[in-house]
Amino acid sequence: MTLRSFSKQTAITFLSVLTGLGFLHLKAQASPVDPEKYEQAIVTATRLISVGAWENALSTLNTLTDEFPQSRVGHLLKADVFAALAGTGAQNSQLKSVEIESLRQQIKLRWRNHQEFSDKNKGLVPDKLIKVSSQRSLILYVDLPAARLYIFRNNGQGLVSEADYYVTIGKKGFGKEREGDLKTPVGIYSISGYKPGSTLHERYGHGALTLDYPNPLDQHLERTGYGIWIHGTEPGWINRGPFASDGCITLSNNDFKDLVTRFDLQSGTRVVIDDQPIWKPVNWIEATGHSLVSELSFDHPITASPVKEESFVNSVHDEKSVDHGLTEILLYPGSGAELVTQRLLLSDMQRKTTVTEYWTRNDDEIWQLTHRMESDFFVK
Amino acid sequence: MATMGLSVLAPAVADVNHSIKSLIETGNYLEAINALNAEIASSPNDKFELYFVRARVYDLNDQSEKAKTAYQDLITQYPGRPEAYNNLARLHSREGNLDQATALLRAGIYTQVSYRILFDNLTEIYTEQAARALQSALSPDAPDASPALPISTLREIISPRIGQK
Repeated sequence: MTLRSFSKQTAITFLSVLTGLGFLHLKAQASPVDPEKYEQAIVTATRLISVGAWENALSTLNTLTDEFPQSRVGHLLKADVFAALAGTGAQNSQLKSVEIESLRQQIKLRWRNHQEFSDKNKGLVPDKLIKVSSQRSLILYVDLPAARLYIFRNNGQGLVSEADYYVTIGKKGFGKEREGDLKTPVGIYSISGYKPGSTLHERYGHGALTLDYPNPLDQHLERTGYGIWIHGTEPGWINRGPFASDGCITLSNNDFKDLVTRFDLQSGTRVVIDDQPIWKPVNWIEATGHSLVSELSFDHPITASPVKEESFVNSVHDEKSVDHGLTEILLYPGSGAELVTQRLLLSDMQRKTTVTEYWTRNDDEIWQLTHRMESDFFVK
Repeated sequence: MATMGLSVLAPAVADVNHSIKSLIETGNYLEAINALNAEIASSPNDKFELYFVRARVYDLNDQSEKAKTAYQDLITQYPGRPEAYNNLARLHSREGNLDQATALLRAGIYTQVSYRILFDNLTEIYTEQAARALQSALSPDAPDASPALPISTLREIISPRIGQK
């Protein structure tokens, strides 16, 4: 593969997006929503049904559907309880319409997630998140098979999961290659903007976070398509089934509102979309990070360009020339690369450059740089 | 498998003489069975209670097969009495034969016309509620005014007496 430096045009695009971003203003609008309550009711009802506690399950579900009349999964679970009481439960479970199947999948995914997190994945973090920028501190992570979006915070000691939400992805699953293939991309992206729901078609629900698909690697691999966003849900639904979008990642409106109001998301906040999640203990992450840093060689020339906005010149001395200025190390999910790193270089007081580099390991197990993107901005 | 939690219909020990009752309560099951056999042979009255208590004591004495046969005989002899259906269902469920157990419980309820109607009506309503909930699952915004399914008519009990089968 050829080594590519990406043009300044990319950098300018990023800058113009940046000026339109005022995520902070969202905090003022924050309204009290409890995104966990909805899922908690579904999980509780499922558990009560599994032990045959019909009356308790019904009362949990009645509370749920009173508050969320559009909760299709809530109504379906109620149908299951009534059918069980009627002695016709088998008929219900044999009802195999596409719509019902998709609701059952949603319940199954939420239930499985609840079971695993009260047990298996506790204290573990995704193996892709080797080093998360301490400047940005937040990173979004999508576990595609689990239909789950996580938000992790680098608190200085390591990554801590701050929240997680059930998500819907593309009708045809993931591994986007072509425009219109109805798949969600696998890879590493960045948030490029925020669009409130009032400015969008109603199918985007509460709003949208735009992503930079196709990223430079996708572009090199000639992947097509656009408008892959993280957004809310259309009217008439709390959540869609796990496979229902055209490639976007969608959350319930309450969850989306929680995500954009509770967290200080920025332009440039990373979104790792992973098709093969592996959860590892923190010490594995640290050890892998140390060995990667020692294996990577940064002797390629850099074209540093002047920073245009004076206000972006902040103190970054703590990041400078430590670990080659590495601010971010992420294992790359999917195909096309194995690793992506980000370095923040400060040539002098007036100039700084963010260098994003994509790597693969050759037959001799040596890391080789395959792509590089330099952008002259700094996001704080 | 674990006990299903089906409760035992209590034997009408009041009708069984006091000595047999205390034999059962102190766990002397073999002696209790002997006493019951003697009572069955000599009693001129209806022997349902005696047969029933003997079946229960077989069960208490871990003689499941004898207990099952005894309950089955009671069902044949007294098809209108629900107790033996219940206890035989309990034995079957304990052995994992859930289909036999449910068939027996249903037959036990159906021994009484009124219970049968109550049970069928309850099932009818649950089925209706299941259908409506399913409809809401598919289209939660459908107006309530036009339910997707017609309300079924529940059966009425005509006679106030709890009749036999």
